[in-house]
Amino acid sequence: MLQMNNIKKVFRTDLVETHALRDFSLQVEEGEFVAVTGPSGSGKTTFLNITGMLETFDGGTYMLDGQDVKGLNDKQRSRLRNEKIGFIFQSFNLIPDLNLFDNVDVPLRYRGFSSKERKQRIENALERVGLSARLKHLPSQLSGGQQQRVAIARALAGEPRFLLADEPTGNLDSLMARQVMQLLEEINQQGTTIIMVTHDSELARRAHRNIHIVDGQVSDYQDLQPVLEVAEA
Amino acid sequence: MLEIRPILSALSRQKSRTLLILLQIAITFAVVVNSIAIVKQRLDMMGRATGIDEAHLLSLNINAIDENYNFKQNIHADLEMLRNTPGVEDAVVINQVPLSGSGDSSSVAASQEQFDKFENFGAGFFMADNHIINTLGVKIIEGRNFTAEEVEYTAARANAKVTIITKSLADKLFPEGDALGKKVYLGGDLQPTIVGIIERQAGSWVHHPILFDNMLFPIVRLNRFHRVLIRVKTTQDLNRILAEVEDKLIKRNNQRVITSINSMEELKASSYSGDNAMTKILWTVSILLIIITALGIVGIVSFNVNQRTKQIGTRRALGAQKSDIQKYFITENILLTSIGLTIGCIICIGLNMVLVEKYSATPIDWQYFPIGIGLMLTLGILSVWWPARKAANISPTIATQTT
Amino acid sequence: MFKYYLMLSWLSVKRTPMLTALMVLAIGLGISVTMTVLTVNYLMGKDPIPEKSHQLFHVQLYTYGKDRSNPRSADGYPYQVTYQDAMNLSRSEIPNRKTRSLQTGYSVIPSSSDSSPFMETARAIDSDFFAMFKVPFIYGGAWESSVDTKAKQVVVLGKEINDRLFKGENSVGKQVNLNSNLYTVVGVIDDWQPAIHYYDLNNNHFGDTQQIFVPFSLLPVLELPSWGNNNGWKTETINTYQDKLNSEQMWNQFWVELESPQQKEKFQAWLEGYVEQQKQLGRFEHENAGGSLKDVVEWMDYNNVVSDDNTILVGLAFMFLAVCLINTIGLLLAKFLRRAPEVGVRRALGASQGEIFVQHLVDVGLIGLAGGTLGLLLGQLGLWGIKQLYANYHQLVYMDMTLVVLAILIAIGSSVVAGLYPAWKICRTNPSIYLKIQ
Repeated sequence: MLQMNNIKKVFRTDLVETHALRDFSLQVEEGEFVAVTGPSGSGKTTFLNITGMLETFDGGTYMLDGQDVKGLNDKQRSRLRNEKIGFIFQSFNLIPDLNLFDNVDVPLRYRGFSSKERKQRIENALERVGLSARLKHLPSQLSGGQQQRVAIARALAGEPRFLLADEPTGNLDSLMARQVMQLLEEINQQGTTIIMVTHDSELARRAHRNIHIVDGQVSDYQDLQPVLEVAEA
Repeated sequence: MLEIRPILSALSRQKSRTLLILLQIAITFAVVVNSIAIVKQRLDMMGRATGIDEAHLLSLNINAIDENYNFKQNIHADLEMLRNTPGVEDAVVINQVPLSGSGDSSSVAASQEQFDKFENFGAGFFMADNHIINTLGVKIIEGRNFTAEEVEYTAARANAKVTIITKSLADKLFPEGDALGKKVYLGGDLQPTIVGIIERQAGSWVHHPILFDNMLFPIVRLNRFHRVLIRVKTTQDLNRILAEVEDKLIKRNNQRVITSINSMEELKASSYSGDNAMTKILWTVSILLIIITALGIVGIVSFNVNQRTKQIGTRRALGAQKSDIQKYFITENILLTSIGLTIGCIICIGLNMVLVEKYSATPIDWQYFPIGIGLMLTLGILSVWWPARKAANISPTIATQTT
Repeated sequence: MFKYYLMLSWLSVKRTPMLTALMVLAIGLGISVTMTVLTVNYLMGKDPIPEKSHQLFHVQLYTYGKDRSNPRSADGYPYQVTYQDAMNLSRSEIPNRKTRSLQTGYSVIPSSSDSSPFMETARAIDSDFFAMFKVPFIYGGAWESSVDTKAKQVVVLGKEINDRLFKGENSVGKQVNLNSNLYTVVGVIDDWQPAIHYYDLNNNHFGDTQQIFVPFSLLPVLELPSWGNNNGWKTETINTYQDKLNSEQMWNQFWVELESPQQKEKFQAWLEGYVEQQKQLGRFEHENAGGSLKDVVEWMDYNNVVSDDNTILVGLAFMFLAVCLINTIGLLLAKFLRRAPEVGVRRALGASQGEIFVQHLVDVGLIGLAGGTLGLLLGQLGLWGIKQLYANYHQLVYMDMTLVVLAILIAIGSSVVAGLYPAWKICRTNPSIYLKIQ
């Protein structure tokens, strides 16, 4: 499903060279729910950006759903991202001027669906997150948890194979965080592969598999920490 | 506490925006300073003293229709009637009207030899009777006026024995200052003696370098078409005479057409209309340019303030006072403006060199630079004032908010 | 997708109304000032008779004595010719058409006693003049060419004066009293108002055209006065009109129509021959003595029809436009960069750089369209202002199709130039940095 081999990413400024990722290898199978943890600056974000094809990498190979990402141009990468990947961010990143309907509409527009199909998908997606009654509301009129659910609906509307979640509960209080987490698990159970970056170990433990990044590499000892318990919802 | 270094480093991190503001300030400065210099030059030109009683002069043309029109008799009768009209100071029949844009000129030299060698000067060639001095309202500073006996009435080219010339022409012909009593040479046997020197008198072509080099001759040309110049006593008289003079002349003899009844002010305005238009256009362009640039600065600085809200809040939280924040933005603006003006001075001088080289403009006086710089700095500070105050009013609590 | 971009642009206008207004104003002002100045400049310099401007030639002769030249002309040639040269030149059989020309004037005496006499400038010309300069007739036509050698008191009237004297009726065959002489009307021309009086650049370049046209051959007969420039360089005693006709004074103009370069070459050779012949007679003493042919475009250029002031204004107007565009670029950068986080989100949701670029170009295009429209409107205001400032420009100041198209091109060009860089810059920003914190 997703296969990274020896990915290398170097950031250069005039003064320093930072190896954000070095010989990073990872394989994720279809239907998995993987949590990626690691201290600040370990390369989590770089990993996410490369996975989402928002950034290019300097070495190694990355196969997404059987397609070699390296060598794709911006247009092809954007297309692939639009079709296969849904993004969920810590700060929701809803577009403040657009109402819920139009926010969820954004990725569908770039996919080029007909207006009928878009409408259908938007309504379905918002229903799935329990917000179908608020199509015309602006993001600012919603609570943080509701905003994140809209963001999830937006990520789901295009029916991607992958969800990339970056600290999805970081800006939420614990009750809302739990609700969002539950929603993600549901989605995962329905077949969508999820990769979630977090530094909340409790959340991480609810994933099928934990990957710990240290200094731009997958730390070995993550395998030594099997998932011992599933936290109660 | 001038925070020049941090400002500079902040500016260098947004190169394109900084460069755009610099360019804008520089071009605005160059255009405005050059425009003001041209405007000033034109205003000076239009404001030159003409030496004549501009405010109280009017002129008109008479074209006789009648085959048997007696020129001399009619001219005498016209002038007598005009000179006796209440409110009229004096009047003459004249070949050309000062500042009107049309007239006669001739070459003149200080000796026959010089004339033959083309070492001569151009000069306006005025012909009228001995009332001309009083009608123009010019001042004789040396010598005398023409006498009535010296005046010739002729249809042909007259052979004047005497002339009165302007001081500016006298100084060119006789740099020693001994023009009075000398003969001047205009070709052929036209070799009049200078009997009087006028302090200053404008000729007909306001854009010609010989505008103030003029000669008067005591000749009245007996032509079907002739011009009349009338001097009145007051401005009220001027308007009255302008309104009634045609009727008066036609009533005296209707075998002619009177045209082009104009006050000297109108003639002058018409001769300078291009310059007048140029000054107005340049004013408009300069003011619009200043407004655009000022609004541009307001827009960009407001944007910067918005972008840096958090940073400003942090500064406030760390103890910066409102005045420090405001000072930061104003200092930043002064710095930007100063760099912009330095580039602007170079563009300005370059532009002026092109204008001087190709379009006979005058070089800019150095005084315009400090004036322009002062203007632009004031403009910059005024434009930045409001967004800077907005910045100063940002609450320090922003710093502790996470979103 | 275009509709979607339009919707997004509208949203962004609503979000930043002041900034948008400022940009529209900047583009609008820049375009209006440039267009106003360009219009005047373009119409002044425009070829007034493009279909034959390269076949009509103004003839100049270097008749000056030794060491003399015209200090104001580029090649030292005098602008006009003497009467005797005008007469001699008109004897050449080479040109298809030719005309002598002089500005003169009359007292017009209406036949009805209740209207009073008035003065009019007039033009003394040969019969070819009308065909050469494509003067349109309403009634009648030019006088017969025989009149050009054997003077007759005939006249061609302008529409305006025909309206005034004959209430617009066909006046051919009727008589007009000019300076107490009766002239028979042979033709009435339609309103003929070339923006530039290119056929006589010695006098006012602009303004109304003459209303009275009479045969040049009347000059010696009726001693028609010159109402234009008379330039002399030689000391001559001129007491009578005959003296003036025989003198070296330059007060006439001469135009020829030469259809082909061969014909022009032939006439040029004829001119050189004429100069040689005159040299034998003791004239043309200058070492540069010769003849010069300038076509309409060259003649206008030679006479600086487009004044220095106009050229300066065009330069300044473009600098003004540059400032307005730089201003707009700055504001657009600000506007777009403020939107960078949203762009980051869109990129993450699958928008390509190209889509982001097009979206912002649509944004810029809308602003350019609004600015261009504002510019055209303000430009009309500017032209109105120019008309107020220059009394004799009223024939000159209007926008023809070329200018409207030019205005639209400048508007589009300006906004594209202003918008390309910001749009390119925003589509190139790395989206990931805006996704972390908003």
